[in-house]
Amino acid sequence: MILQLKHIFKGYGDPQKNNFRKVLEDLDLEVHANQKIAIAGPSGSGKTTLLNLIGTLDQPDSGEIIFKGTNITGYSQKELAYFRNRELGFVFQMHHLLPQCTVWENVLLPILPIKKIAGKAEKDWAEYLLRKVGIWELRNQKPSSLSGGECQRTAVVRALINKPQLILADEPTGALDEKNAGNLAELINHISSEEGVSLIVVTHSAELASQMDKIYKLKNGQL
Amino acid sequence: MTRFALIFKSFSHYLKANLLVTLGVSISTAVLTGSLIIGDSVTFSLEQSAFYRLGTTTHTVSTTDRYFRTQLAGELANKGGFKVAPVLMLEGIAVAAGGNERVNKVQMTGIENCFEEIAKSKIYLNLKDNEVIISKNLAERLHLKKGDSFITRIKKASLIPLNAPLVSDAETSVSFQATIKEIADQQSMGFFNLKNSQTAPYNLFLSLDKLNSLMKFTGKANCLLVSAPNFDNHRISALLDSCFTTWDAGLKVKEIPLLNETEITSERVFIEDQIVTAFKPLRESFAVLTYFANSLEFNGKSTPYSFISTIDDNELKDNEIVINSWVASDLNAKPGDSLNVKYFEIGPLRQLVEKQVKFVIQNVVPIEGKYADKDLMPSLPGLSDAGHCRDWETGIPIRLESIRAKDEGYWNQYKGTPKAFISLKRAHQIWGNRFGNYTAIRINSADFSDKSYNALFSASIKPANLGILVQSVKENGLKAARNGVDFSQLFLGLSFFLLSAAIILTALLFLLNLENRKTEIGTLLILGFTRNQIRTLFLGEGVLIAIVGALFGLLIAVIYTKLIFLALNTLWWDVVRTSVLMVDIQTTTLITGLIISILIAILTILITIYRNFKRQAIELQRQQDHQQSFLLKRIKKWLMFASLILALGLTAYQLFIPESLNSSLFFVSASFMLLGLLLLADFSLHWYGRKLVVSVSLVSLNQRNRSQNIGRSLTVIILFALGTFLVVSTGANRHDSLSNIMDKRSGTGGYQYFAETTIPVLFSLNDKDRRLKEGITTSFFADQFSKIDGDDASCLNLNRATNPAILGADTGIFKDRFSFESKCPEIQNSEVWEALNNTSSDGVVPAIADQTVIEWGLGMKVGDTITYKNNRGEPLKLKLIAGLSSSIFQGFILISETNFQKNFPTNSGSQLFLIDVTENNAQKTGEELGSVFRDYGWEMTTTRQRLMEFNSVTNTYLSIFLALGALGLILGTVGLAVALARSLIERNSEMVLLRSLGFSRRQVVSLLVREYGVLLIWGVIIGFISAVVAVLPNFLSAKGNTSFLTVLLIVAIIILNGIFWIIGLSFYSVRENKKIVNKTY
Repeated sequence: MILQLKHIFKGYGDPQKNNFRKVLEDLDLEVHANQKIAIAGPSGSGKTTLLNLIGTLDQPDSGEIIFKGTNITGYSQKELAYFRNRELGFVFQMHHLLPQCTVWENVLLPILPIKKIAGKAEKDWAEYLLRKVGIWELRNQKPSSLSGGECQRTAVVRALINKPQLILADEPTGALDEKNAGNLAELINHISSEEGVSLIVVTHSAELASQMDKIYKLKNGQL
Repeated sequence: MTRFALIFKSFSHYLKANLLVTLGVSISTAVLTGSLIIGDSVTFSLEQSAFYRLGTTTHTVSTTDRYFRTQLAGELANKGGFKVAPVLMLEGIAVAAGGNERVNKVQMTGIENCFEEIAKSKIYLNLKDNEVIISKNLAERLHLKKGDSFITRIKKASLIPLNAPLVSDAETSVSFQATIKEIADQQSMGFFNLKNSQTAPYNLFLSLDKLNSLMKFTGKANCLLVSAPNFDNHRISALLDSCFTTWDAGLKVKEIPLLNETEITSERVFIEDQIVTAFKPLRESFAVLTYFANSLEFNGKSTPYSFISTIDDNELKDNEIVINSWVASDLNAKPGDSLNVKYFEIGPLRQLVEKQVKFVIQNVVPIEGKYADKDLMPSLPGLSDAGHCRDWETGIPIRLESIRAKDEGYWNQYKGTPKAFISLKRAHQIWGNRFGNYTAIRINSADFSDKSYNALFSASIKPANLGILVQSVKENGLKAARNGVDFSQLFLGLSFFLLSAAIILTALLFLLNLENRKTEIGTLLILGFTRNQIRTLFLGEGVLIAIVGALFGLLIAVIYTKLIFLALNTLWWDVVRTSVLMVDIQTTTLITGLIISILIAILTILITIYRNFKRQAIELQRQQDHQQSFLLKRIKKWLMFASLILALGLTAYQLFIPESLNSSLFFVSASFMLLGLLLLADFSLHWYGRKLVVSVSLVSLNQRNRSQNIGRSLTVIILFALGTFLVVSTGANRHDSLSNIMDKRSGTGGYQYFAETTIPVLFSLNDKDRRLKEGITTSFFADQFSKIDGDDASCLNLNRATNPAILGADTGIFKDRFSFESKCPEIQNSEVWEALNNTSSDGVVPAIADQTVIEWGLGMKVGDTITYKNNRGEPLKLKLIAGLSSSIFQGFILISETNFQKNFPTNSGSQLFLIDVTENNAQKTGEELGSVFRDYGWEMTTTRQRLMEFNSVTNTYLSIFLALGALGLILGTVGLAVALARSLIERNSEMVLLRSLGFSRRQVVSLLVREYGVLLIWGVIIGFISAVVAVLPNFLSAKGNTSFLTVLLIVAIIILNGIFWIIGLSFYSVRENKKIVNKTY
């Protein structure tokens, strides 16, 4: 088991006042190595909140998050940053590529928090991934020259550059047309299987969800 | 790919946005570096003006009221191996166009050919007879050109101090017709001036011989211009000592064959004690004092107008007198009889007081031998050369009707042979005066030798003992220039708001850029970059922005400086009063400005980054506002209450205390008020953002919108609050009019007129007889002042004054006049003027000056001491015991008349006058005095005008502050426009939504205008309230004068300017929305 969420509570607003809204209530989740999970649910059910908690972008009001046997809930900001960089990969609905950097530079960006410059090993790995997703020829282009699908594929490569244990994808196909969505869904699934990376996907796409090992529905703050 | 590469890529990708930020950096660099360059340039200009006014002169040998040989220059030059030029410097008046054009205080300098080496200009060679060279400013003022003729009137120099007893005041000036040979500009010593001032005097140069002959001198000078760059004062003084002779001290030696005596006399008539002491070692020498008595009376009989001398007789008691047989016969007196001697004692302004003293006749002597010595009579022009008694011209009134034929007979036969003799001690008691206690030294001829005479003189008398001093004028001039008004600091202060606005604009624009890239920041955080790493990336971009902006700013700094100088030379001329300001750009200054600007920019950007990075990644991704911590909320709340309570409390306290209002405390209250009101605005914005709205309205919508981005809303409020505060409080401090100006306690002292003359007036203007004689018919009272020239220490001189002009004042006249801004704590308020009469045991003399002079002219404070040299070359320490509140005496140091006469006894007459006259008679009196004293170079202004002239300097500084503050506000408006434009772009979808919900374009614009207009007016109101508190003393004080109109005008302009931008941009954004709406549908 690489990830365990225990008794997670999360709400927004001031608990003392009447504008407090509970989002996640006593939520538990377990993710095993190489496992692929889809999380579905209606709008406002807390899917993105859950993903943000797993991705350490937000803190639960109570509960524990245990990753590879270590409780990361009490980590400092610096420790969390390191954790995110080494263990997690993110793919968002909007690709969030840096517009000023080329494809090549964007995919190597996650190296820079740890190293001053990308070494040969990282570059070789980046080349491998770019070829694998089919955008090696576009490596010197900037995001403004790419299609939505190509941008998302770049984002996927970026997510894998540090060989994470877990990829978190929040509506990765949400901004794409049907054809590109399908291609991307297949790509994510395929890559995570090949590279042995666990995957948690938040999605409305039935097609993408169907490719996962497990589908959870988030309702009333619980899975 | 490296972090460095990422920084460069980000900088160039967001180049347009970054260039906007560099604009803010450039402006702050320009203002900061510009201020430094301005300071350098003014100092440089003043230094240059020192070179222009001195030529190659490095030192001077000068005296106030003595004259030495012109040959002294050549002798000193030979000994030292440097250049020396003798000059005779006097003051005068120039008159042209038949008297219609008149210039007073013209510096008249008699020169020889060697002056050419000082001036480095050949135009000064071979000036003949009536040929003169005048300065360009004089030529322009009188509308004269080369070859033209005009009249000059020059103050009559006298070898004898004009206020000395028995000296005639018949001629106080001499006129002559001058022809212009050449006009001297700045390059050819047209600016010649030994005083440290940037304002060029009017100069006239003529032949030294010609000037000597006009003064009825031969070969005299009163100043040596020395060009000796490798010599210091000490060495030059030592060389001067070795050249200085008895001739230079005005001493003459004469044989008296009748008595086998040699007589030493002075061309100044009275001999100083120190000279007499020097010759005491001469064997058998004795000193003599001869005086002129009005009458010798006995038993109802009177012998008029007789000289009485002293004799070297140890047996003559102090109350005894020896008379000659002529007097004994005239009065029918004999030994043992009591004789009454009447004489005049001469006070300041030649006031004559007749005194009398009784003697007992010890002996009657025949007119022979030592009792027939007509050489005992001092050589007095108008007396000793008179053929008859009736031709006498003395400094005392002669009643011609009392002169009898026998008196004429005595004069014909015996001339001024003394008719009586008393002891030297008694003579000192009754006739000793500040000019000297002796009229001659007599030595047995057999014991006299030129060698011992000169040796004794050289051993004991140095030029400095006689007030002939060596001064390092060039060194002092450069020092005064360098220590003068610091224009760097001044302009930094004046452009404080402009600088602040530029820094705020930099921060605002950088913040907008950061906000624009929030998702990028969020992405980096998610990718595992720590906050510090991301800050570093953005800081790196910030450093690039700072460097580019600062470099560009240096270019703007040069233009900014040139514009400021253009204004200083024209619009703001009142502050500098010179047209020789030059821009001087030094590399070190540019580098300093560059480094400081870059550091300020980096700091600004760093603070912006740190403040912005408090947000969580998720807030950035969701574009949520950062929530304030509870602690911060608490602190701000308490600070707000404390500031407001303190502000109101201090203001109330100030209003009710009985003493005069304290302007500084009001400014402190205003600062607290400003802080408190701004915190209140912050609190309100947060509260509106949080509160639950039940009744939704356009007002509640506006409130929500203003609270959506509190940082941005607050920036607008702060910018306009600060700008309004500074501009309004400055505008309200302008002294545009002077109320209660004729109050005795005001700066005019209740006097109507302030007048100065070029040529001293030797008599009292209040003397009824004299008024009759001069034809003065109007009724007024005049207070007159003796004056020693010095540096102009008023705010009109940019140089540091070291020795301001000194006035001698009768302290009794100022009771209940003027008021003081500061004083020594040991002096009571009501006794400040009287304290001028106190002298401490160490000889320090109390002095009073205008507070402005003390603080800004001298760079000192009350209690400090300035050192001068008196007429005898002795140090004179003046202690500043009080500072006058803004008065007509600005530029002068005041001491008591008694102390003045003690230290500057040879200073004759008055050159400064205060006229007290009723308002009905004011104009007539002014015109009459101007006419009567025209030839004295009478220059008169109303005291109101004089104060206004000083105020013009303050007002000009305030105008500069206002102008730069207004620039700052314009910058603030640019900031407002940019923030507004940015917000409208971000809220584009919001505008579209409102339109789709049915809001008309006009309604949407109205919403936006109300939203931002309220922020603008909120800021202006906060600034205005605070400014009113700051200048409350002006509103409340009787002496205050606040220009309400100016203040309201400023506020109106600020508001209108802001509203203009808000309406314009709002209309534009809604117009743009229409396109999008059209596109969508």
